[in-house]
Amino acid sequence: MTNRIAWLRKERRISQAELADAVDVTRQTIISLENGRYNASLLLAHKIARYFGLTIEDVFLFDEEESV
Amino acid sequence: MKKELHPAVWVVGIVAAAAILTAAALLGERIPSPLDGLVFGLGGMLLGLSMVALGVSVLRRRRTPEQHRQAQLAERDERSRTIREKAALTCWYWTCGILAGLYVAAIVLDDMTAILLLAAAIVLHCVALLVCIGWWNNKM
Repeated sequence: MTNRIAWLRKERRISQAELADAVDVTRQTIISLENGRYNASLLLAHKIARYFGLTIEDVFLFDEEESV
Repeated sequence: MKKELHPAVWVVGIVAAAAILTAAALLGERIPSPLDGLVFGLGGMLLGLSMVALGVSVLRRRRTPEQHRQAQLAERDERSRTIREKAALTCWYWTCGILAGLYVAAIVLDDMTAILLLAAAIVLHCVALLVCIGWWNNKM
């Protein structure tokens, strides 16, 4: 699973701390999500997508091969 | 959010532990042999736990509102929870290994009490995991 969080955040000039506060997680979680070290739960994915005004599929890119 | 106990509760714990240990020390040999170890053990455990809990409670109360908010956030953060769950399971395996090692040591030393206690601890440790898995299986 990859995501466009870092790109979307930079495009909208939002800091990691601001995003973390908005979706009720720590900044470390945002860093881990952006680095691809941690996959968000459905609830967090939904919160992040809603924060950017996008769908989950727009933010999170599901890798078919990785899930096998 | 869990309700925090007032630090005074832990002070009472320390006083109670001190009273138990003092009484045990004063009574000395008048307490029968297996019971004195139990009294000292329980007193020491209560003293240790109360002192650690008091320290944690005092430190928590000294936090600024921002530090408190950050701590609350870190507690419910989903990544932190996942880390805690993974760490807990890893610790379960470590504890199993430690108990098994102690069990073998008890057999080598031919200490029947330790053998029985450690066997019971290993069984309880595994049963506790199965019970917890079953409980969460029903809940989720």
